[in-house]
Amino acid sequence: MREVVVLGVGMRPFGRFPDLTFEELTYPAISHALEDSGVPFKDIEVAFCGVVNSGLYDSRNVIQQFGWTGIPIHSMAQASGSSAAAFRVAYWTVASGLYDTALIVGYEKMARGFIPSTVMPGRSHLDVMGLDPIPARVALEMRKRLELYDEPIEAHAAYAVQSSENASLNPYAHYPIKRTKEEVLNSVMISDPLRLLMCCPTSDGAAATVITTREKAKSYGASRAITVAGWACGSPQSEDLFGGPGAFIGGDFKGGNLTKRLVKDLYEKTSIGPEDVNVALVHDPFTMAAMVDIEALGFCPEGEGGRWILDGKTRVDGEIPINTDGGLLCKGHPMGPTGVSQVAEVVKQLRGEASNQIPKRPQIGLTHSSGAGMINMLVLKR
Amino acid sequence: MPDNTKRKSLEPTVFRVGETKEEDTLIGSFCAKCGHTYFPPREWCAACFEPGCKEVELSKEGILSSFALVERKQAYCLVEAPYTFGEVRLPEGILIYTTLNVTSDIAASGAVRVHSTIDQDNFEIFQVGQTARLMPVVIKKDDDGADIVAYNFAVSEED
Repeated sequence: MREVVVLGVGMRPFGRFPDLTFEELTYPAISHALEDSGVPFKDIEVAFCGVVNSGLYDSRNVIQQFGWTGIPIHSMAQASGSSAAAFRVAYWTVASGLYDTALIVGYEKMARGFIPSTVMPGRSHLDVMGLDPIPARVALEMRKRLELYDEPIEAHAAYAVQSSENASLNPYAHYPIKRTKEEVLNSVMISDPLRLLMCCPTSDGAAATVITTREKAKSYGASRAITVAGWACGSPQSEDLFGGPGAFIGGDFKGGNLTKRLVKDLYEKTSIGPEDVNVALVHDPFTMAAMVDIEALGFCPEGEGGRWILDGKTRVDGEIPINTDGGLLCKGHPMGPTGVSQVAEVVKQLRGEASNQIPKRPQIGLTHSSGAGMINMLVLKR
Repeated sequence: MPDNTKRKSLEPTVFRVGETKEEDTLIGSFCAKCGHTYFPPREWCAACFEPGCKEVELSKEGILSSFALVERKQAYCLVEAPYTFGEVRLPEGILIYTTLNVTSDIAASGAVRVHSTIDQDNFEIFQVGQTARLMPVVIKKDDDGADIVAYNFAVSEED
């Protein structure tokens, strides 16, 4: 396999853009990524889109607004991990020699409120009986954590505060608003013990990136290329579902089983360990998910995630800074672009160009994306 | 006067309505090859990847392993909010997502609505580790006036 690098990244701020078309929504993200990479659009050989809710022609229009070059255009839907999955497949095509240069774009416009679990909401007895709301399922797991690990609820507030502080420095964040512990703990109860500010918003947004081979990057005079050092992906195995209610729930809320298995393989493939990771962008649609993630990724012992956060170890100046852009919780979570937005933040951190830069410029970054319980991870190096 | 209202299951593939309420049962499936039990039932075993799982009736009693109060319902949900969402571990080792009530509360409700009088003020009645029993409830009536019954678990205030 050939060495692949990220040459450029671009984003549109996450937020609410009900009046924008998908072309308008994605234009700044794609044009910034192209400009950042130094790659003219005519050199893009293949494009991958990550989006869940899209019309018949949207992915084609999103790409072809920059020119009808005749390249293959693919669209992938994998819930919250759509563009992370698109990135991974794009990486495969470049690393394997099928193409030299690829454009990956995530975009989405979301409805407000609960996200339906299926395309036929109301058909399943789980829907009719009120057993499908994701926040309620998360609340069940959160209660278990609080009891099993004697985890203080203040740890969840501390994580929400940390995320809000990070987002306040991110010009692309949906909610760049600093919150206090009291605001979090007194926010609206969604599903006891889960409160509103412990949940991510639904958002609109777009993110894009350009990847190519290390060799090809030289022709663009790229001095800021970031290496894709490794990847891992997978879906839950039977052991993750035993005792569970079925495919609705992914490994992310079942003790991080899938993440643990995948990251073990990822660390072996890249010859690093958790102690070598200087920045991590993890899937945190709820405060609890961040705790499960940092434990599963090996940054701290199982059950200690909440206390680590309380101790400030995951802050931008901490032992292992996570979600320095505010994470899904405060940057926003438009599903489609979320995965590529994680790549964008890690690339900026490794280049030393992040708006909330880690004081000691990181060497190695990790992205962890989950979509419907299917996980995609990357190790990026400078 | 006996209640002759006809009872039908909301979803017969996972919950069967009996001649009497005591005969109501959850339906799972069992893989004779590797010994795993599933709910909802599945034909192909998730562990040994073979077809042929057989239908089994599941236990009517388990242990409450977690619970949450749902403050807002989805538009298509027939359960009125707030309601209690629970996870019950059955002796077969499987977890059931279910609505939760308190036994005395179901009697008081007339069993026409799933939701109980549970709210933030008396939510502490639930405790992890409590015994929870299958206590189906009527979730709606169909056009012929028959009761459409859904599975539900209840804890006892005495437990």
